[in-house]
Amino acid sequence: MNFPEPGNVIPPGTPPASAPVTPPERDRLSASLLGGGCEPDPRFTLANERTFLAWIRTALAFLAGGIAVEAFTSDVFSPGLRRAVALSLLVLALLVSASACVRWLKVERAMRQRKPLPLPVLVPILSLGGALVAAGLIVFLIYGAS
Amino acid sequence: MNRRSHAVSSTPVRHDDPGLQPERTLLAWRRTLLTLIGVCILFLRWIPPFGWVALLPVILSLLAGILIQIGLNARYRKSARGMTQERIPPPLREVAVLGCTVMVLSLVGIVAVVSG
Repeated sequence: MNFPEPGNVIPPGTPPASAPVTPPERDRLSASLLGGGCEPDPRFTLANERTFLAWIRTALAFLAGGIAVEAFTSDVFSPGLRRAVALSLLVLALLVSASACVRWLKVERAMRQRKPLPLPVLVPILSLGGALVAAGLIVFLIYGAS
Repeated sequence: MNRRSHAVSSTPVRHDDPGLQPERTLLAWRRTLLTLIGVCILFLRWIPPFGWVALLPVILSLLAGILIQIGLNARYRKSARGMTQERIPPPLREVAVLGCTVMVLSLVGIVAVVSG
């Protein structure tokens, strides 16, 4: 397999064509949010960006699940249960999206100051939340349907 | 001129990253926008129970999607250029727009479900 855009990629080893090392000025807001430190490797910045996007897609999936449960399951669940399931999925979406933003900022700061990356708070939230929703549904399927 | 790179930007930006990180990041943004549009369409299903108020999240997510899509080419060129200059400005604005959109959408959903 070739690279998808062979014309766009300079083979490794050739020196970069343009080398003006004048740093682009950052505005005051991003300077105050990111703090000092030196610029990280651009690959790390992009990797952090993609990780943020992956978490946002997870949040969007929870959001879609919550919307769908509220819209489509009126024949399956009682109104109270439907509301509880939709609500827990939507709250999970809110938590995941909020902490995705916070984590992106924290990782960006840690990379600028060459510090170790923060622990992902998101993972226990997500696994516990998902497990609780699933357990609630199992209890409903065993006892609630009869 | 390469036709595909012409589709991405008017003047192709050359970078020497063999891992194609700018391209992967661009595709990650596109996937995310696609998911956002999917959620936006799902919100249309809320019009029968909740009334025309349900159009608000639809319009909000469409607007955010368009806004991000407009800025995406510039972002790709910035990151491709940054690969050769060894520095990329952090995408603070894009992250803020997308993160706030998803948070507001979930909040709208929570309020709607709680108020019935």
